[in-house]
This record gives sequence, structure tokens and C-alpha cells, in this order.
Amino acid sequence: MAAIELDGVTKQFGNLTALQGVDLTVEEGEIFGFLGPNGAGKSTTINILLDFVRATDGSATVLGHDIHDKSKAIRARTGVLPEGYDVYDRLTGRQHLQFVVESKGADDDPDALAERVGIADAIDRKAGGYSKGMQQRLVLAMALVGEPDLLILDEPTTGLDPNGARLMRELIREENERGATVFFSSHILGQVEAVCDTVGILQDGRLIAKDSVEGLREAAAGDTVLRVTLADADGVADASAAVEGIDEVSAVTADGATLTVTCDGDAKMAVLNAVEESGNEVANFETEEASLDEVFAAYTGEQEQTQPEVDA
Amino acid sequence: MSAGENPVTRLLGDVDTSIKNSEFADWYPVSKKEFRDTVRSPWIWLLSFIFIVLFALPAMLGLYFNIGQQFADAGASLTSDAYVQFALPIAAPLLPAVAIVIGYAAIARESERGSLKILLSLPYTRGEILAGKFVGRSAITLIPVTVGLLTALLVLVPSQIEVAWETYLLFALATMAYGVVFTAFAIGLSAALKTARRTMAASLGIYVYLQVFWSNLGPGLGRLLSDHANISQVTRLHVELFVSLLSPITAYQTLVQELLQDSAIRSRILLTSSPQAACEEMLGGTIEMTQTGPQCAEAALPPQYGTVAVVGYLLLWLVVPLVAGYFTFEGKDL
Repeated sequence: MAAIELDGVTKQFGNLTALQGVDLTVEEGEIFGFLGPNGAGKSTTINILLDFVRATDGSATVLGHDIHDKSKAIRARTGVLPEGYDVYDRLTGRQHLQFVVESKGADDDPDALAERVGIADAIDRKAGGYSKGMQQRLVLAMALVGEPDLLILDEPTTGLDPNGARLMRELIREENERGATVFFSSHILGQVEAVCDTVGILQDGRLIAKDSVEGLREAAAGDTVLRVTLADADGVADASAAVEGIDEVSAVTADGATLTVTCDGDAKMAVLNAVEESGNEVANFETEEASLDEVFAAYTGEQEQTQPEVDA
Repeated sequence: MSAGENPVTRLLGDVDTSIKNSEFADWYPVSKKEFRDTVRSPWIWLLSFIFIVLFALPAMLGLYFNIGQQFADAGASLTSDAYVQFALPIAAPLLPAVAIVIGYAAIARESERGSLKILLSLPYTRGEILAGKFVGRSAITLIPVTVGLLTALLVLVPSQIEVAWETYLLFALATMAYGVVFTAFAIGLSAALKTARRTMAASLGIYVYLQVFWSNLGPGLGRLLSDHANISQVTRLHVELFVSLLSPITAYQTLVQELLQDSAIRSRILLTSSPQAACEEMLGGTIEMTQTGPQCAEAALPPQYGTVAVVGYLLLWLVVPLVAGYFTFEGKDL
């Protein structure tokens, strides 16, 4: 069963179309990164999943339940870190956690939860006096109450320092290993790249790509650039000819003892084998893979500026 | 709960657990959270303090000037009914203001600030959130009411003023209901409107209208109908009485007057522009002078003006805003 399934979800706010026919499946047990620039519709999607706003068209299920009719059952098994939330200024961290524990009928220990997110010292202080980062940690701890089957985290690293961001990634991995599906949105690519199994890219209310992190890289940047340095520069011509003979190779250039080969990502071994078979020894090689930033830029229409440079 | 704790704590703990385990009380943690959060607002403390002082003031003055003794010396007895007679015109306008301040931010403020997203991320339907907020904030309203009633009682008991328990307890009940009605009214508007500021403006606006202008509405409508629709005098009195009873402020006051005067009829006809005509023409009675002033004898009060009906009109101000608020909130995008 899919953890999250969207089928043609459309949302209009007056004349503004926030989402246009989004189809998306998030499998159970995966860490799904929901990527897109600000204003792409990420939060609207999450708000629809949680029944905060209602879709204009289309349907969706979360954990097998209809998002509107069975919203309460969904939220009983889901931990949420919403975007643009506010804590209760006059209540302490402990009171926040106790409230969630009671609401979910769970039996978690507030102190243990606070310890897990690193706010144990502040648990008896009023949350209104917390820094933004501490509030984010508190709400994250609230999301972890009751071992939810699904975690929905909307821009979870907002307001966190690098340590906080690392903690967030660790918690996401821990929760995933426990068996939880994690769905989180971000416009920061590094966060997504570091922990996700699968990534979906949303732009202007449309899902423009969904794939594994590796798959996306290949799909977007197409070719991998491979730099092979030979032990002996004399063999360059032979090696170059041998590599050119490979189907997956689209370009080869030689510069001194270095060959720069543009090829499909999975042809790397074939290139190295061909070089060795031509009687040369490989002294060194490196590959240049497109970073997710470039993938993202490629998908969102800024291809020209950020395409990896290839030697002429 | 350890056995060493005092019995009150243990009882509260047991009550807490049994409500929590009840099948129909999913909203209960919301009401607890709401109570804990709201009870820490300094504004509400200030307002409650003012209410308590003003509410108990007539009793304190009575004790200070030893009025009970003066009556006793004169051979008459003074009961707590006299205190209620003084407290009523204080509670009737003041309590709605307190209740509105307690209720107006319930949902609109949370929605504006974003804490509603945290609340709605938890397994509650919107109806349960509204119910929890209503219960939690009504409990807050009951604090100044209860403290005020107890303070007055504490002053009355040692004074020479005799406490008429039945009337006092029913007055207490009516006043609590009155406070809860206006809390619900403000919460209902809070669920229906976009911002806390608008909720405050709308609820205070309606409150001021009820307080200042509603008493003119019945007579005005009666005059208009008799001038242009040529309705009879009796119909005109019916219009006056019925319209004025629809105000929660009037409904509360006439119910308490009914207790004090021990007569529903008398407290109702006094709401019309012509009590005598109301008694004789509308209710078919006769005005008789008694020791306690004019009474309308041999009259029958139609059920729509009876105690049950008036309690119903008062409760309409609880039910209608909550139901309207629920449907607006339920259909709303956050």
C-alpha cells in the first residue's frame, strides 16, 4: 500500500491555481523529498494531505484513508511539523508535549522526547521564550509522539543552525529505520540529497519530475563527464580511438595525458576497460556528476547557466 | 498517582482519567490545553478581578453599613434577595464583556498566528476543537462568576442579612449560564470570522446593540406595525414582549426578576411599554394592589413567555453562534 497517493489534485485560490493535476505516489517506508522553489505549491500539497485546505479537484489517500473523510484517522498515525506554525507562548515545552501525548493517546515520556531533540534543559520554560530553532525542535519532538507511521515535515530545517539540521537528518533516518515513511519538503537541495530515497520536484503547481536521487541526476544532466589520466601520454591516441568506439560515449577530447570523455552514467566501466584494452594504464580518473542543484536548475528551466562545463 | 497524595488531587486525577477514557470526550485534552493557556492571560485576570469586586460590592457595602441590623432594628428582615436585586444590574452588562474577552480569540487568533496548524495536526475533527475550546473557555468564565458569588456569600453569611438559599442558588445558576452563553457567542464568532480583531469588533458591536438599542426595537417595531399595518393593541404588546425576550440580556434579567418577585407574569409585563394593558388585554388578568406593589392577578402566561421558553431564548444565543461557527470553520481553508 502506498503511504501517500495523490490523483489529479488541483487547488485553486480564487483565480490563482496553486496545484494543477498533481499525481504522486509515495511508497511505504521511503524517505521522500518534496522539492521545489518557494511558491511552487509544496505547502498547499501538504495542507491538502492534512485537510487544512480542501482540493478543488482530484482525490488523495494517506495511509490508505481518504484525506477528507478519514482525516482524523490519518492524523492519529501521522506526525506533523507544519510550516508557518506558532507555539503556545504561555505554555511550557513540557505542557506542549503532554498535550500531544494526551491527544494521541500515547504514553511517551516528555523528558525523553525533549532529550531526543536537544531541548531537555528548556522543557519547563515557556515556549514563548524559545528561539526559533528551539521552537522548531519542540514541534519536531511533538511530531515524534506516538511512533507515527508517517512523518510529514514541511521545510523542517527552517530556522535551524547546522547542528540542528544535522540532528534533523539523523532523526529522519532513525524514524525511517523504525519503519516510518517520511515525507518532507524543502527548497534546500543539500538536505534532500543527503537523506532521501526518492525526490519529487514541484514547480508552478505541477510535479515535473519524480525519481531516485541518482535517477534524477542522470535524467537531468544526461551525461557524465569522465576524466581519465593515463600513465603514459604516448598512448593517448590509441586510447582515444578505443573509447570513441563505445556506443554510449558521445564525445572524447585529449589533452596531454588526459582524456575527457562524455558518456552515459552507466558506461563508466566500459570506458575504463576500453582504455586498458588499448594497452594503456590508467593513472587516475575522476567523474563529474551533476549536483542536485544543477538537476533542480535544469528541471526548473535555468539550464543554461548551471550546466556543468565540458572541455571543448 | 501515588497513594501519598492528598485526596483532592487524587479525586481530580481520577476524574481526569475517567473523562479521558470516555468514548465521547476526544475533545477533552483540547479543553484542558485551552484552560491552561487562557488562564495565564493577564488581561483576563484583570477583567475578572474588576468583575468580582463590582459584583460583590453591594454585599460588602451592606455589611459595612450594617444594613441588615438597621432593618432588624426597624422590625423588618432583609434577605439576600436585596443583594441580588443590586447585583443583577451589575452582572447583566458586565458579565457579557468579560465573557467576550475570554472567548473572542479562541479560534481566530490561533488561525492568524499559526498555532491552529499545530492543533489541527493532531487527531481532532474541527467540531472537537470547537467543543474543547467551548468547554475550556467556559470554565475560565465560570471562575470570576463563582468567585464573585462566593465572595458575596461570604460577606452575607456573617452579616445580619439572611440568605434566601433557593433564590441565591438559582441566581447563581442563571448567572453561570449567562456567562457561558456569551462565551459561546464569542467563540462561535471567532470560528466564523477571519481575524481576532474582527471577532472582537463584531461581538462587542452586537453586545452594545443588545445593551443599548435592543430595548427600543420591540416598541419601535410595535409602533411601526400599528401605524402602517394597523395591528391591534394586543398584537402590538405581543410584538414588544416577544422581541425584547429575544435579547439574551433581557432574558437573563427577566428570569432573575422572576425569582426575586416570585412571579413570571409580573417580570414579563414590566418589559412592555404598558404593563397594565399587557396584564389586562394581553393576558386577561386584572391589576391588583398588594403589599409588594401592583400584581397581575388571574392571568395566564402563554407558553412562549413561560420560564422554559425564556431559558430557550437565552440558550439560542449559545447554540446558534456555535452551530454557525462550526459550519463556517468546517468549510474553511486554513
